[in-house]
Order: sequence, then structure tokens, then C-alpha cells
Amino acid sequence: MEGEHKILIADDEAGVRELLTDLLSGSFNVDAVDRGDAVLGRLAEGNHDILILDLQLPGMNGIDVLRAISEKKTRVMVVIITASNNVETAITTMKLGAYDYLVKPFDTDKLLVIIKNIVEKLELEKEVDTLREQVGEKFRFRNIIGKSPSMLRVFSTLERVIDTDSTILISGDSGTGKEIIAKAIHYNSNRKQFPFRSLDCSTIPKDLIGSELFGHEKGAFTGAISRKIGKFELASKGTLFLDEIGNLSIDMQAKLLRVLQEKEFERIGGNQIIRVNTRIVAATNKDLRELVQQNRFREDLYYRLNVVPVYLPLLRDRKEDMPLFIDHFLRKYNQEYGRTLNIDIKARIFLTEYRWPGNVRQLENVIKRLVLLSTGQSVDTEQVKAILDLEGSSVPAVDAEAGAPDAVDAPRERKIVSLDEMERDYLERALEKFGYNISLTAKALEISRKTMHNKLKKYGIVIRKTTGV
Amino acid sequence: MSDAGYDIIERLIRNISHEIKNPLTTIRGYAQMLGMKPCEPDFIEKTRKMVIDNVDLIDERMNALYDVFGLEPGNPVNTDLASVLNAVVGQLDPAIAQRISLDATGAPREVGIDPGQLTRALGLILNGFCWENFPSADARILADRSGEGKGVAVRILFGGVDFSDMGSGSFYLPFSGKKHFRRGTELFEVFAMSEKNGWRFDIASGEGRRGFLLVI
Repeated sequence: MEGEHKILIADDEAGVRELLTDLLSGSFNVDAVDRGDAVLGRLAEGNHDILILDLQLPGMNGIDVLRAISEKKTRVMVVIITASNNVETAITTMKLGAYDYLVKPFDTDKLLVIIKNIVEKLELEKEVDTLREQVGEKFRFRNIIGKSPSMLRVFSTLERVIDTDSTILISGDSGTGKEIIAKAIHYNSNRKQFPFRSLDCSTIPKDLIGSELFGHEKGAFTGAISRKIGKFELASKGTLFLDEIGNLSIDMQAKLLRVLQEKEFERIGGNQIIRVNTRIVAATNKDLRELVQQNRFREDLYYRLNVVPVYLPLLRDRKEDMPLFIDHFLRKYNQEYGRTLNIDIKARIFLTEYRWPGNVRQLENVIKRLVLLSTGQSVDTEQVKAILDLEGSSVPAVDAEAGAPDAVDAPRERKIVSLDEMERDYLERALEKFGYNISLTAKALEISRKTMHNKLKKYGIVIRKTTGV
Repeated sequence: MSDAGYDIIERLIRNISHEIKNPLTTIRGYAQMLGMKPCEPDFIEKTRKMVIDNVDLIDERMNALYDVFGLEPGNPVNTDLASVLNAVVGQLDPAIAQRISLDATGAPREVGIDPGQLTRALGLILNGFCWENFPSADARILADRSGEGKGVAVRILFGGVDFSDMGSGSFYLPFSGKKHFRRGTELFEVFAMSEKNGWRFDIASGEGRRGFLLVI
């Protein structure tokens, strides 16, 4: 493992170069230079992981080498070795990004421990990079389903602004994939090696959202038992996705506006100014302009967020993408559950013509349930309808066979019943849909077989027959 | 002692300590490696050699310092300055000599000086300079009557070299100029020679270059 790592030694003293080469060459790929001005070139061509750098070097001193490495953002871990035990020099080098500092004549065991720690850090970073790459790959534009003209327009807009710091406002109904697009913006941008953080402004209690965004200092309020770093700080250099931005309180909108304008803030209860370079991608399923007119959303914040507006179309308005989505989710869940299920052509047409009020998220859930619950090799329209009916969706599809849309169900007038009655009724409907197969019904209702049996016993439901879906 | 005096001593000790700590690092490192794992005879032999070489290096550096303190004043005689300057350049490696130009037209023909010590002083600067580390460097030697009291000033001005980090007050201290000079004690020896002979040795500049001045 260590042998894969390359170390560059920069010291003008031949004896020190030879010592370090002998010490490290058994475990590492070692290279050496005797001049400061040779370091940067060698690093550029050698792809070294670690640099052991003397400060007193001809050509270019070690501090200047370190400064150049920092400015060029060269990825190399630097260990300073110097005869000077001057504290100021040590602080300067650490501020410039040196990993550690050893004063000559140093203990070689100490150096080996430092190198070992660096190697562990590098391995971890490599693992993080690989994982980040895997996550990033998932969110590459090319891997996001969208061949319809409306989605191609979205991608085209995003590609133009992807590497800028522009704030992006994504609007679209629930389930249209706003978070996926936000992640795609991050993982396709030059910020991809830095963190992506998200915050759903609709799910965090109003009193806590400030702390979530900006963090707090220990003792800032009752319950603040330790310092908390906020999402803005965590996502510095990266991207912060603020979902359901329309739900943000007016107070918090003012604070957010200040950060967007000044790029700085203070943690709650703190007085230290924290500067950040965080790109904001916001999303909403509400019409923010309407909220502005109702004085529920600040106009200045709206314009600050809406620099690049992106609208995600409803699933039913991007029918060209339906076959791609069906195949994608079918493949995903077949793989996940070890199935080889297919969907027949009529069922596919039915799915394509369906109105999908819950958009892509609903389609995914339906296909997941089909894969999970179907006992045969192929799914037909009736089985799809059964799943949709079980979901309680009241928005029907165009009838694939008849070629004409069903009328939209009128809201049912229902009498008020007890919860037990409602549960019993629901259980009976579910059992009927799944041919009174207890296992399948329990799976569909996401309860255990044992719970299912208990409920059957409780409500005195008698199983009459067992067939597949 | 004045603050300036303390500063000079501190810098001197720091420089010398730096030069000693490097070979000590090598000695200590090899000694530690001997204890790390079973060593092959070749490695033991190499360790022995490295320890001896680095002890010798410390000894050599200390001797170079002691030698400076053993200098005696020279015996001034009427000397043809241009001949001395030409001789100094002539003794250099031809590859270095061709990078040096000489102008002594403003200087008197004869100067009362110890020619051996002047030759050694100029040779220390020109020979000690690490020409191989500065491929674009050249030097110009200018001799004229611009010294204090119309004394003779000999300037050795280098082009293509940045001496700015050597400072000015104590640039001559041992190992201060090690980035530019091979042993690092060359300038200190010239300084000591100047003190013994009543010359002045300083940093100089001119013609867009920087270098050294000897007023003799």
C-alpha cells in the first residue's frame, strides 16, 4: 500500500537526502532534489503525494516553495525539516498548509510516524474521492433521465451556468426531482470536490432553522450544550441546497439575504465573523412571485435567488421520458430484489398515459411495489391499476384499451367512522387486491406477517382464498 | 554590548548551528536506522561511511571558521591593479571566466596593496560563487577611484542573481550566503581580510546589478 505513494525530498545537504532516501525507499517511491526552484517542476511531472522540504534551499527558499504550492493548489502533503526552531517560521509554514514541522536533527521514528499518519490520511481521502466520484457519477447530466425537450432545455441552461457561482432557483411540483437536479448542479460543477449539503426548510422547526443554517456557539440558548457548525459553513466552497425555500420565515429570509449579499455571518451566540463561499441552489413547489405579492416572501431575496430560474416539468408533460423512467426503475428494483420482472406493452402505455400527480417519485414507488409484489414474470394493466388503487390515488389514467380518459373521480362523500372501522375496511380492500395472500398484503402494507395475523384476528377477518396478484 | 552586536552574534550562532545540525541529522538518522531492523553488512558499511563523512563535514566547517581567525595583515607593495584583476579572472575555469567582464580604466595603474591577499579576496568571491546554480549569471568587475577619500573601489557586480535575501548589515556572516556560495564562509573570509588590511567590504549595486564592493 505504501509503495504506491511517492515522496519527494528537497534538501541541499547531500547527507540528509541520502539518509531520507535510505530510510524511506523500502516502503515508498522516493525522489530527491537539491534546489528549491526544482521542486515545483518535479512535483508537476512526478505526481508526488508527500514532500519533505528543507527551508534553506538554493534557488528558492522553502517558504516560497510552500507558498507556490499553496497558490497552485498542488495536492501534496508537506513535511518541513529545518535546522531552525524559530516559532514564527513554524507558524508561517503551518499557515501555508504544511502538515508537520521537524527540527533537525530530528528523530527518524518521529518522521516515520508522521509519514504513516499522512499515508492513512491519503488513503482515507482516496476512499472519499472514490465514493464522491461514485456519487457524482450518479448525478452526471448524462445519467439523469431526460430526453424530452423541456428537460433538454433545463440541462442546456444549467450547463451554461454550472461553473459560475450563480444562485439557482429550481421550481417544480413535488416529486419532479428538484433535489436530484440540485445534486447534479453540484456534482457537475467545479465545486464537486467540496461538500453538498441540503436543508428542507419545511421540515425544520422555525426556532431551529437559524441554528441549522448558521450554527451556534455553546451556551447560545437553552440546550446549546456544544458548538454546532451550520450548513452554510459545512458547505463552504461547495453547494447548499435549500429545499422548500418558500417555507422560510420572514426573519430567516432577512438573515439569508444578508449572507447572500455579504458572504459572511456569525454563528448564533457568537461574535466571530465567518466568511463563506457557498453556492446556493434553492427549490420551491410554490409560486414565489405570488408569495412576494402576498408579502410572505421578500422581493429582494426572490431576485437574489432567482438569478438562474429552472422549471422542472410535471411527469405527465414529459411523456418522451416515460419509457426511460419505466426501464430505469424496473432495472433498479429487479436488481435490488433479484427479480426479472417485465411490464407488458399495454401496461406500459397505461403507465405512460397516467397523470402521475406525485410525479417521478410516485412512478418509482409504483414500479417498486410491482417488482416487490408481483408473483409472475410480467405485469399487466390490471396489476398496475391494483397497485395504483392501493395507493389510493384518485387521479385516473387515460384508459389504454379504450383510448379515452376516465372521468376524474369526484371527492367521495364519506361518513365519519372509527379508526378501527377504517382499518378493518382498509385491510379487507388490501386483502382483496392481493387475492387474500397474507404475505403479499402484509408486504404491501409494510407490516410483518405476525402483525397481519393479529389484525385479522382482531377484526375477525376470515381468509377465503389465496392467489397471486 | 549593543543590540546590534547581540543580533550579529545571534545570527552567527543560528547560521553555524544550521550548518552543524544538517550533518548531525544524517549521523543520528543512520544510527537510528541501525537499530530498526537486522542490517545487511553493506548497510552497516554505508552507515559507518556516512557517520565518518558527516563528522568530517562538521570538522571541515569548523576549521574553515577557525582559519579565518588566523589571518595576518598583508604586506602592501606597489602593485599593478589591472594585472592582478586580469590574473584573478585568468585563474578561473575558462567557462566561468568568459562570463566575466573587466573594466579598470578608471583606476590608478599602481596601488599599494598585498597582491596575494587581493587575489585571494577576489578569488574567494568569484571562485566561491555557485556559477552552476545560476546559469544566467554573469559578473562585471569595475575598478575606479570612487572609494572614500578617492580610494580605489573594486566592485564585483553580478547579473541574473538576486542577493536581496542576504540582507546588508551582516551579509558577510558565515553561511549567510550559502545559497550563493559553495562553502558559505567565503564572504566572511573576505570580510576578515578587509578588517586586517584596513579595507572596506560591503554590498554594492550599479548598472542594474548587485554584488560586492572592496575599497582598498
